[in-house]
Amino acid sequence: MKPKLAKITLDQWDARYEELKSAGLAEPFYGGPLRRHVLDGDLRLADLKFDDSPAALRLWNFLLSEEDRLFSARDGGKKIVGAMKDLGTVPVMALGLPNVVAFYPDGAWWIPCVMRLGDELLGIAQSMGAGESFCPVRAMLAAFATEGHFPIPDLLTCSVGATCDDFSAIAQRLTDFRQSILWWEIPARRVPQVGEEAVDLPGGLTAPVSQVRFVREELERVRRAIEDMAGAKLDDAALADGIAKANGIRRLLDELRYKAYTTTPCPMPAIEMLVAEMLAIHFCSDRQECQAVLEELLAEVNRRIAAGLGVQKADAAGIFVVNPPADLRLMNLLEDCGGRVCGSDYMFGHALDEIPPDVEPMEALARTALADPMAGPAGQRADRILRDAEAFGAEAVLICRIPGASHCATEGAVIAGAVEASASLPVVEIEVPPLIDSVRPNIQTRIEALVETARRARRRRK
Amino acid sequence: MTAVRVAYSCSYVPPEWISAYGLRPERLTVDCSAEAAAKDCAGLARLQGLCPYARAFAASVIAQQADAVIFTTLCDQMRRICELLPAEWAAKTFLLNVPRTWQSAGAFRFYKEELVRLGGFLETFGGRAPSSDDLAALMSAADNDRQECRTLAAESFSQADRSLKRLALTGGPITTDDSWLPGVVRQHSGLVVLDATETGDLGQPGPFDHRRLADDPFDELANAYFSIPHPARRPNDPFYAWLGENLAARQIQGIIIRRFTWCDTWAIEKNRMRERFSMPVVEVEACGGSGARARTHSRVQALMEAIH
Amino acid sequence: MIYAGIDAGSRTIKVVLMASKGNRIIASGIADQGIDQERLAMDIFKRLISSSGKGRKDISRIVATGYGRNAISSADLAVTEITCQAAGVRLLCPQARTVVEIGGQDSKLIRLEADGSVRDFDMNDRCAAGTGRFLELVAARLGVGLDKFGELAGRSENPAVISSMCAVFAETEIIGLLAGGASPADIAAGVRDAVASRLTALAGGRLDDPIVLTGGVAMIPGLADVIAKVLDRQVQVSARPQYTGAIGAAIIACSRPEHSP
Repeated sequence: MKPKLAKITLDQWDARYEELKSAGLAEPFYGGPLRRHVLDGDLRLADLKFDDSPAALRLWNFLLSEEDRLFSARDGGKKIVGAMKDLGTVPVMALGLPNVVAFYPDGAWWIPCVMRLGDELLGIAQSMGAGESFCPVRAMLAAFATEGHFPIPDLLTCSVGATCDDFSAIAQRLTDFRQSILWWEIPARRVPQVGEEAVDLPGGLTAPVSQVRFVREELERVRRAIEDMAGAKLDDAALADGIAKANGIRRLLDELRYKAYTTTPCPMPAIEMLVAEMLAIHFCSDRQECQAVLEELLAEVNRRIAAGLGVQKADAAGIFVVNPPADLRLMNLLEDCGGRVCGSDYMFGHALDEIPPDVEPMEALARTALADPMAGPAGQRADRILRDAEAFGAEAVLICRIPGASHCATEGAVIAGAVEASASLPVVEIEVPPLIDSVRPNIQTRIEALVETARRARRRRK
Repeated sequence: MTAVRVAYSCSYVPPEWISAYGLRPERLTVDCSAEAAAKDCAGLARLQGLCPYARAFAASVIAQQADAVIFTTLCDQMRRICELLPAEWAAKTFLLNVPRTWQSAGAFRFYKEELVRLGGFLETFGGRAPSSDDLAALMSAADNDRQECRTLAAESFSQADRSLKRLALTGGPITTDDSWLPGVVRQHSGLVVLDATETGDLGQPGPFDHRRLADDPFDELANAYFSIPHPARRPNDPFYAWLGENLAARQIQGIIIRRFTWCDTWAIEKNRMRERFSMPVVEVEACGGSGARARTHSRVQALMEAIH
Repeated sequence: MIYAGIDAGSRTIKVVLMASKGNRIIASGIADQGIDQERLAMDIFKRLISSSGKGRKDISRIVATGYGRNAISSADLAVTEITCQAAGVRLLCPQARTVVEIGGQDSKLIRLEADGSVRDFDMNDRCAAGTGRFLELVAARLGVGLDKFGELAGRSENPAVISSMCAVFAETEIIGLLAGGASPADIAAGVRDAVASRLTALAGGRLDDPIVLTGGVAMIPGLADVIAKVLDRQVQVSARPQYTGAIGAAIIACSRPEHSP
């Protein structure tokens, strides 16, 4: 039997880091021990278990140094675009200009978790009128107010329309303190009617040509705003270059996901895979380094597959995870309960699909934007989940409800219903707050029951 | 023959457009009682975090047996209910895309295209696309009706007892659950003189421009409805311009926001209203059931006491 | 002339007798709330009159306030706690511009004009997790009296995080935390912090100093300090915090024109 790789705690990482350094570990400029982030206030890291590879260390360091990267981009005279709500379109446009970087302020939704509520962002947001009926992304509102987590962008964009009302309201509130926003519309995607000209979108979707045209016009407004901000022309050649670079990342992730989610034993822990997938959205504002990080992670996965090494027992139940959990610790818990991730839909499936390379750049971006799972019916999202769950060989589905999110009230039920009806897979929906500690026993019971059910079904199939 | 009944809830659905197709538009009176929701819409009753209005609207559609239902994208949960309703009841549903943005010509054109698509949906019920003249005549009649309402409201306001404290009521659509609210206000020596709810003055289109109406009635219809200043539009400055103007015109002294639990569109506006208007603002629960009434009563009474 | 204020709160009933001259408090009394609020209130009322050497006819007007104000039929007028708290705090802390009241059933944040009148207010009357009743439940679950709750929470080195907005679920979380080995002190501190953080929602970022804390919960040791930390402001506890509502009711009774109800 092949040995199981150990996941290690932060304390163990201290020793492991020294060991790697002694062995000549070469690190990028943002390298260093994980412990330094805890000293900076990222207290939640002390509660997590990590992969012990240098590739994982680099991944975490890359993720947790984004703030420094953005501030130094500002200091270096680069222009910064804050792209809100659209996941995976505007940053691709920004890639086309060398003096522009883009990031998602939305990512602040994980700060309360990572800082163990130490920064009080949720309380500040609450005092600004975004209380507990709002999704934890309200932390972003407070992050703008405190100006400590990212530089205030030179251009702030926000997609509205078929998005969640929480986000739209939070963004509107932002305008009250000197943040002007370029709002652009993303309509509710629909199936073309009889006689209507249809356009294929990434992810096997279609939409009427009129909707694609409208989104394209909207993105043209964004393009002009980026040009105005940067003082440079964002022409089709630059956009095509940006798209090609983004597609490079997407292909890498595609391979990484396929290998990590379908190989037994599982070669990479769930939490590192979640972080890796997040890079698809905005490359942590450094596309080149993002590519290097993912290549190293993929190389580590390939090495483990070749050696037959895994981080979970071979009989771990394959779980398809729907929605990103507000607390990263959930990913550890899933594995502690005997599960492993076999596929995921973190609400940005369209950012993992290749942007069509064979059409005009703006047309390609419009099609990608319209393929956003949030813009379409939950049934279409469920279809993709079913398809992916089958492709990855998932044995159960775990839906993470986001507290307060307007779409979660109905979407979970639609997805659960579709999974039960079509795939006969066990499915459980849990609500994941930014810190799960106090509800851990309840969540653990549900995940364990899901794992047990999946295993029983596996035994019946044999 | 009985006209086909087309139910809707959103202000951006022009009833004139439905009438022009020969069908009967019905802005549903929503019964918010938990009993109604449980009886008529059991499938939705189990959903956690669902807006009580969205649930009650679905239940009311079923209870009132409308022939067709038009939803819009102005509210995320209502958009999603449109997807779930067919599993509860064999209604024909239509989702009208209403742009949240209003500042681009593209958004307006898109709204017009959506109205045309709505026309196609209405034709599946035997509706017939109207001629320009027929549409213009219907619009004129509806405009006159609205003007008459405005005149009556103005007269009523001018004759209102000046000793009563003047309030504005804002928030989501009025339901049957709200019928007692004006009485509570009155009981504490107040009067609602501005209905700035989605079903009130806020949700009404402005008067039609008669020249444009004669030239291109469809364009004028779309323009009037597209210009409704709902707080969910982005940015929602036109909502505040409208509200500020009306608060001043009616000499409002306090604002009540009726909010459905989980409705973030209105939730975010409470602090913003306070920051903009120097008067007390209080939030009360809409569709909160009998338990909420005592709370609402207290809050309204306290609001009245706070107005000097 | 003597006036009475009755605060029929969800946990206790408070009665205050006040002389109109100088708004001087003559007597005050308190009793736990029960089913027959009217009787309980009148029992205290009669006891206070008697101990003050007065008779019922000496009482010119009674104003009731609090959760059960409309159940006190002997009262001449029912006024909300918002207005009464403001009036009471005006007497006890004339400079106050913000009142934070945490009662048994709800919590309130009242912003005052310079003359002490109410400018606007917010109430948390829907979520029990921000109330004294919730603290009481938790104290019972942790096996301490409410009077020892603050002291217990003060011993915490690592306050637990309570994430639910609903008291019922929060109680479930507490069971989970106990099962997970969290110490009672950490849980008490977590709950205390949760109650305090609920106030930030009410505050809406608009607080004028000085801030005064009232209500029975204000007497829990250490709570004012936590609220001060959460609000990032100085917070002072009102004198007689349990009685501010009743005092305010009595002041309003005094200040009404002679023939008005």
